[in-house]
Amino acid sequence: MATSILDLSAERMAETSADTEDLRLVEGLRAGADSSYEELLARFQQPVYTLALRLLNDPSEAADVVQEVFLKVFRNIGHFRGQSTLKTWVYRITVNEAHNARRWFFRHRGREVELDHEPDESRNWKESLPDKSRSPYDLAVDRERHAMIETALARINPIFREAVVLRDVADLSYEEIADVLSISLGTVKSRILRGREALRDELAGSLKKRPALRLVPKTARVNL
Amino acid sequence: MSCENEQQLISSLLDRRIAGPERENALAHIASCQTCETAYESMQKMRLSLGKLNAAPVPAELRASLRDLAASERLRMISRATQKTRTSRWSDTVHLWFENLMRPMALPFAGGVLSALFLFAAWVPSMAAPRISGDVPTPIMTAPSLDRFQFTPTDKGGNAVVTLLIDPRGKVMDCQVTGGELSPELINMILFYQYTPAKVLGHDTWGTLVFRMNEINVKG
Repeated sequence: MATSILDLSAERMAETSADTEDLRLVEGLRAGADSSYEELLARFQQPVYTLALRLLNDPSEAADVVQEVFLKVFRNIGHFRGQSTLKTWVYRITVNEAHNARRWFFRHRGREVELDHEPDESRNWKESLPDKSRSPYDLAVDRERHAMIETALARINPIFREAVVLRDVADLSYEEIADVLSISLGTVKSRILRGREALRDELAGSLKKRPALRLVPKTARVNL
Repeated sequence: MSCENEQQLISSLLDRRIAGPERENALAHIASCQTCETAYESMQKMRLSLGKLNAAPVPAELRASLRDLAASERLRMISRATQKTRTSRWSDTVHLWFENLMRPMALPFAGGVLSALFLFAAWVPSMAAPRISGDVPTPIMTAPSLDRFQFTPTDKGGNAVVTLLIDPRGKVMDCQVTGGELSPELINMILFYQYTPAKVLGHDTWGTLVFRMNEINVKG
């Protein structure tokens, strides 16, 4: 009992300090403080890009969405009332922008032919450096698994994808997801469950189609 | 526990949405059921794999454009804040100037308004038409009349009819018996009565009064 009380108080303290930090950051942005703008980018550019990328599965679309998101954040920071956390506010904008981009894509660019180069080719020099801690085999397996998950994620219903990405990729709590998507906790739970099931089915389907890939990790596990 | 709702339980377990005995029961079931254990493990692995997707590196071009965007938006915010401050300062100045202008005038203005109200309240009653109590309407012409209190009924006059000429002072100037017969007493009484003379526009004038013993008839 004592532990749970301590946990609760620690959680509350963490929430309070996060709120205070958010307020300080928002005040700095409103005042035009250079450090606040840098801090906002440092805190959110990576998660926002990841979220947009996982929701759209297109790096160029995701980059456009991220710019739109930050433009909206900078322009509307005066309207931020602190009713939700800054994180959920920014994520909500991201989800909405990704949704708009997806609709726009299906309306206007669905039939266009992609002429861009492959996303892997656009990686910078840091990303292309070899990671000595892991073997090329592990890296290849990881990359293959990444690709499979990304493909499966892109195939499931966008409504369920949003919930799964927010929970499993962005690591948001159910309450935060409910706040971001403006839905009830029950709906969050149901969407996550259905999204995971759909994802699992997609993965199972893709593994069945490609038996060679299925065998490789199994062999590796037996050897370990 | 059945495996029907295993997916929901597994999902809740992975997200730590169930605790206490419910969690213990679910874990015990998963440990005892091969299907559920496999499903739990695969879901756990899938979740771990999804978690690894979290670290997508931001392209360098995007980082640069975001920095540019932040810088331009910061300048815009500063200029807006400056403009807002300037507007608010100008508004404060105007407000202060107006207040300073009005403050010395406040007392005289209030005094003037109160005085005007007082004078108006005092002047309004005098505008009303004067009411005179006991006023008798003044017709253009009135006939002469006899004060009833002076008249004492008598049975000596019979039903005689007398036409009297009344002067402006209310005295009988002439008397003519037009019917019946009068006793001398009655003639004396009629002659020495005080009459109200006839009036024309409020002025006393000559008039004729028809006098009967049982009633008084007034003629023109």
